Amino acid sequence: MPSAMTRRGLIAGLSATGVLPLFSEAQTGSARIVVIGGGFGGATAARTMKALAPRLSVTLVEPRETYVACPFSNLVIGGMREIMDQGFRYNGVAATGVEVIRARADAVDPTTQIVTLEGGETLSYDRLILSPGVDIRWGAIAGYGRTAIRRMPHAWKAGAQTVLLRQQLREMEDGGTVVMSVPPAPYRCPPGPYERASLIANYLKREKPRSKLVVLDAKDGFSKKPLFLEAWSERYPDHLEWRGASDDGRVSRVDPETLTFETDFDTVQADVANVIPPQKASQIADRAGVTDATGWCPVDPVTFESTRQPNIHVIGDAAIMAPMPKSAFAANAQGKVCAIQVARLLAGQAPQPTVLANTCYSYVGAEAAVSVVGVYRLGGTAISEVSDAGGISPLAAAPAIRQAEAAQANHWFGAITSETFG
Amino acid sequence: MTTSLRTFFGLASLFWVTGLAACGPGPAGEAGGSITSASQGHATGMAAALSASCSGCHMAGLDRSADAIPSIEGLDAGTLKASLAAYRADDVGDTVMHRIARGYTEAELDLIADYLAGGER
Repeated sequence: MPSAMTRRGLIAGLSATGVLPLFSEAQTGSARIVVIGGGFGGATAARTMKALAPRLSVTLVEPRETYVACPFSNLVIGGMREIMDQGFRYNGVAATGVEVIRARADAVDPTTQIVTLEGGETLSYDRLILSPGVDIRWGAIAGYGRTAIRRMPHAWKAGAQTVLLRQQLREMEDGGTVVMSVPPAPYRCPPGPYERASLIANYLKREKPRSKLVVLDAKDGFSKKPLFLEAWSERYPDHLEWRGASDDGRVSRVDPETLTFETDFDTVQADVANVIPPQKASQIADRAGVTDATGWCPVDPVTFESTRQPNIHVIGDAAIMAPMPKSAFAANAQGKVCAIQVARLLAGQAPQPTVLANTCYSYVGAEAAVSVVGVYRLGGTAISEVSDAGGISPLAAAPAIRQAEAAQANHWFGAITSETFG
Repeated sequence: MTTSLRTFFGLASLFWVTGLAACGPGPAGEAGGSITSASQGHATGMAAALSASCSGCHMAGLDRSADAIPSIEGLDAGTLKASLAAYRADDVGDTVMHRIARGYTEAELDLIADYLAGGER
């Protein structure tokens, strides 16, 4: 621990082992908080909740022993990073006094306020924070079912799928065609497909120069598009072809046996196939009754409490936070704000409108990255983007600026994973 | 290690507890409105939530040799206010900060600066 940290801690009146609580037991009671989902939203919310009000009972329900982070997993696919560097355990969360239960949540009864775990054990809650992430919308692309992911990995949940796609790319012979399909919005990590396309093209150019990546996209516009198009024409003119919706890019059917993609007018043959499928809020959100017809979870823009069920807050990718994107940065920030608002509600205090920023870096090459920023006002009945703020990195920037943003991206990953997982 | 949250809430407590003790729970404020005075922010306990987007990058206690994103640890409120105001006025900066700072009112940035420097007060 740096000395400045110790000094600040002492000045702030903190002990070496804990935080000065904002909320006393008299204010919040000994309420029970259950958090489902230990990603960037849920782990942050659980730790923050416990830090705010140490006398609260805070339980984090997460089936995985090791969380595998999606941010930076495209670097693994591109052969620039090891999957080991993506893993985070929950020791740091548990060390803050959060009870971490390694189990899948099977059901939520919003009336009795009881969570049932896969083994039948039950947890009652006063406030539930759901941060369950996304599920694949099976069948949205004809032919893409649960068994298809072995031949056509999505790699949109990091872990074995990431490693599989990496392995398939490594085993492909030079001269092969990689095909990636991209869904319509909304989905997890809006610029993620285009970062992945950049890094796969980078790998092909470097290691298999007679090969090519074809991106079949269900839309014409996407996050940081001018920056990606610029990077692709500069860096990968022979290795990356992007087809938008108006260029017959929308994929309606795939065949895992033949590794083919069908668009409205074309059939595209792949040697390696990456289907980034349409998504929805994870199934536990359906079971809790907090999803709407879109498959995502509508929430109050100040407290993130479900508009469909009381005392259940939904954060992260599963929630409808538009225009905030479904990103790790946003989920982490929402986790902090959600915990603050829940503590205030428990203490009988009015929730507070606030402002959140989002920053997403995307790599476009081995040591080059670009960014997009948005600033959002959370209040009243909506989340609104501040129109004269935010935006993307400058176009036609000097290489030093792209390199600096890559270094900043790397720093960001270390910072946010430390804050989230300890 | 819990350094970041410890810092986050160590600082939060200084403002929030003080604000609440002085004024009690304040009104929620205008829907989606801006903070236009420091007293409003302190009274309603906005500083901690306003600063929630900072520590995702500027987490305290990281290895200082990995300083692609500058550490703000130990900076006083005046320095932070001057930096944030400069970013807010800068249309063409090379980093994300000028794009972020423009989204906040001057009063909100001052609250954030006070909050982030709180451990030194």
